[in-house]
Amino acid sequence: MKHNWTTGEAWAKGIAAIIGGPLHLFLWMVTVSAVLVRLGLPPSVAAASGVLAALPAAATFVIIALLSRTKVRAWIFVGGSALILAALASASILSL
Amino acid sequence: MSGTPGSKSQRRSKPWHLTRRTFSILWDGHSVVGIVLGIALYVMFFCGGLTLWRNELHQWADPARRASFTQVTSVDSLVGPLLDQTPPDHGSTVTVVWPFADRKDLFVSYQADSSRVRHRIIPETGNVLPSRSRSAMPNIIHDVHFFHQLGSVGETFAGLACIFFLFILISGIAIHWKKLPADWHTFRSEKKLRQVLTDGHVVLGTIGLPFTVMYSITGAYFALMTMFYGAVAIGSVQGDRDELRDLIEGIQIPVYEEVGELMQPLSFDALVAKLPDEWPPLDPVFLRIRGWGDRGALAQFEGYQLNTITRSAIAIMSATTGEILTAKGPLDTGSMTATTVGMQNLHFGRFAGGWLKALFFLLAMATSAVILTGNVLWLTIRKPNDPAETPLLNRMIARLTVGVGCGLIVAIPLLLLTTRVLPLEMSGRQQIENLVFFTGWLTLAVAAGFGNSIQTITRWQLGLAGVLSLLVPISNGIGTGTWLWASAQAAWWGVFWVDAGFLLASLILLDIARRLRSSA
Repeated sequence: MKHNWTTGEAWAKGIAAIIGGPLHLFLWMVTVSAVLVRLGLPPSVAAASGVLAALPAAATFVIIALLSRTKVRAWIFVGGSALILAALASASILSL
Repeated sequence: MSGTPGSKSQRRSKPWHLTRRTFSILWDGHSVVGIVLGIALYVMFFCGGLTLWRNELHQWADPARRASFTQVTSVDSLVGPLLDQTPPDHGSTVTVVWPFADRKDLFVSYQADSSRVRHRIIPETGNVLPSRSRSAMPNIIHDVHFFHQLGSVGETFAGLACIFFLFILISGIAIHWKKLPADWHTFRSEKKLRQVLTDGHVVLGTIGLPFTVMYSITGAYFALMTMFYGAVAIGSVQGDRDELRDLIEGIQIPVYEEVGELMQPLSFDALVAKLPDEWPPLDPVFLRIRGWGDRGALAQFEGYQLNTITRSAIAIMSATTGEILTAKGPLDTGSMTATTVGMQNLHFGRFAGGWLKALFFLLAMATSAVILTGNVLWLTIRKPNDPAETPLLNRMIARLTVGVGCGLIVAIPLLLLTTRVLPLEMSGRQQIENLVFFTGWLTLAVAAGFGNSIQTITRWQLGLAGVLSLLVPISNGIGTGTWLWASAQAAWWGVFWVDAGFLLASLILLDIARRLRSSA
């Protein structure tokens, strides 16, 4: 089935990607650095890992959102993963 | 080109085999995002490439800045007379910044009589210049590079464009994966225009991949720095900004506390001589003395290790005795310091001398060409047999690509000519430079909306860019007496390469314009 960019389905997935990319850039930086600190790594290593991991992760989330079979799956994926990342980050920060 | 949908087991046996659906989505995503962001990315790369030569452009614009070398043998001999003439206020901060990266003058800043004093000193001649440059030209090009003129909105947009540029690159790699090795060298110049554009887009894009990936990451980092630092501060140091600064610096910087006893600090050269002997050779960045004239004054020195990407050194000394209170050598560089220093050195191309900058410049120009050919290719593929049936959107994209893309190539030499024609001491010249550049660019962008043939508009704009580029070295020769051979003789290589670059660009642009005429 050819993907059709003129449909609402494609636009909905596109918007999920546009919002999901920058959102995950931020969340990955917070979560990676927080979890690594919680795991006992030095803050310097954790912060650097957060910076370096975030952009490839954000681009990957854009691709996965676009490749989702339906718009509902795209939004569940973007929203769900954002919630999981936020929860992980909160748990790590609060437990320190 | 696309993958043939097969059974699940067949697909599993070929992990890099894209299904037709995946290929189609990535292909469309690559081209749609490329079309939407293409012109912005083109401006960022084109002006970014020129910004690598910001210092050279400063030297070209202002003859007082020209010098054949920039090494500082003695800071005291350059800064001392200024401090004697206008002594710093007691307890104030005095900062000396060495010629570094794209700025080849010694910068000194301090407070005297409760007002800020700032000077730029040319190390070779000892010429003292005002801190604000007399020509706005290099800064205009630098600021356009990340849409700084639009404030934080422009910078955020540039950062987001970098994120989606990485998506463009990843999707581009995915759709070309199977023939990536051939894409390095397959350029069939004898074929039809569409094939030439395709080959040019793919070959230049493939060759420049490591460069473009690096710039998408470092560009996002710089444009979204507040977000980056905010996020890692929340994650790693619970939002403590001071602690984050210590992580970035790699050292805890002591706070200056006034002792209240008068004592002059050691000379700048004497303080630099107190640095540990075991440290490898450094490229000094700055020396800052806090608490000038007080016995408790602190001197902070920072430098980068020569010919490395991520190593930096910091030493905090007593400014009056030279005793090192705390220090971090290049070999002690922590992960966060290495990341931030590495981002800077990679982005500004300042870890391997002038040849690396030349390579980065060529790759930036190649990437600009990849982006524009991508737009033209998108339009060519969708070109109907009857030109009258071309959709409005496609016509607008075509006009915008030519107007903004070629318009910028015209506006840059126009800006340099304006810089050369206006007297350096003229009041309001910076506003005039801004006005000419942006009005000229806008006029050309709007002009591209008129006329029947897009090829004719392109030819005229490139021809105009060629003529104006040719006038750049001529105007410099007439205006300042610095013809190409004179700047080479004086070893003013910055000025020489700006003139030579525009001369070469004019020949290329005029040749392209001639070829477009013959193919019309």
